[in-house]
Amino acid sequence: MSALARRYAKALFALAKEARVLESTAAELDRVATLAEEPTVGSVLRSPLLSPQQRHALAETVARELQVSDLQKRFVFLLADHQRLGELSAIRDEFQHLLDDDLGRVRVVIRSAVALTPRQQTDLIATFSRLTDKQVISTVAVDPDLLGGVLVEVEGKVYDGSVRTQLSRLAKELTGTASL
Amino acid sequence: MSRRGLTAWVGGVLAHPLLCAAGAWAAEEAEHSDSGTPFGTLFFSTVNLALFLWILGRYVMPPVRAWVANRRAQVVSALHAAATAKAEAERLREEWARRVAEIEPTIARLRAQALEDTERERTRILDAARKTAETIRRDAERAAAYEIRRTQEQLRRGLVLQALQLAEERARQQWSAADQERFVGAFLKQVAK
Repeated sequence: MSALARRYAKALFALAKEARVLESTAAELDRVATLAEEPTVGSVLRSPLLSPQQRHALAETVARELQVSDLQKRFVFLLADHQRLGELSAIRDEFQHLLDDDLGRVRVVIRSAVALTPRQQTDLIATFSRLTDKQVISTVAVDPDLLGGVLVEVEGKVYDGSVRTQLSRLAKELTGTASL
Repeated sequence: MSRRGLTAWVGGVLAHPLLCAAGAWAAEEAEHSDSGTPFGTLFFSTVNLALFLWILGRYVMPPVRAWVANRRAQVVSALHAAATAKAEAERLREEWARRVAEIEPTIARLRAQALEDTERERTRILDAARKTAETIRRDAERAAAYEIRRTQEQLRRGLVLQALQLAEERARQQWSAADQERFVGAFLKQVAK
């Protein structure tokens, strides 16, 4: 994540917190960023061929269509004027991270080779909640390529309990090579 | 012929008729005398002899003496040259004799030197060949060891790959809920640590 995106996200976060609209701003930013991630829309937003007026008009259209708040609208205009619409996704992620930090939350991605039982999910969430001392917001995905076990990503760290990784580690020990 | 010789020859030719005439006149005188020593004959013979000796001393002897002196000088010079040549020849003979006398030791010395050089060169070549052979042997051993190690690693790698594929296949086919439960439990314990 770029320092630039972090600066914009912090600025928006400060304004939203001051206005006590953190959650709604995060949701609006997510909608705008999701739209910007669309290949057709994104290529237009990032195009250097657009004049400042055209970019501003485009940002206005996006804000009107998505019916965002005045704060969000001004933020999108600012990004358009500074040709930073391409940074929307990174700003959204950073804003989400700031929001989670502020609210004492942590996002956890759980990948499992087979579908986890509710009890297993609960145990995992409870374990990582204790580990991070934060409220866990989990995203669970099934990944058969893991062969067995689970893999959890928390705040950029990966806790790997998959059969795939254990087999690779065993192969590495047996052959002395980095990967097979 | 020299000028002096020529003069002597001309004098002799001119005096010859005179001497002959004197002789003839003396002979005629002798015929007219009856007995005893014919003084005329004696006189003319004496004159004749005197003339002969004078001509001989005046014209013949100087060239002869000069020729003899010249010849003597030539002979002396030739003798000197011969003596010098003889001395040079003697010197050369002695030198060659000395050289001949030195040939054997020189040949022996050269032969010994050549043998020594040959031996030294032979030793050097053998050493170099030995070192080269040793290097080749070491390289060959190293290459063989490397090949063996590489082959072993390939075999091990192949075996591990096969085992890994087999394990993956088994896991895909036979992974049960109990296995997952066991793995998740172990994972949680590990994370909790």
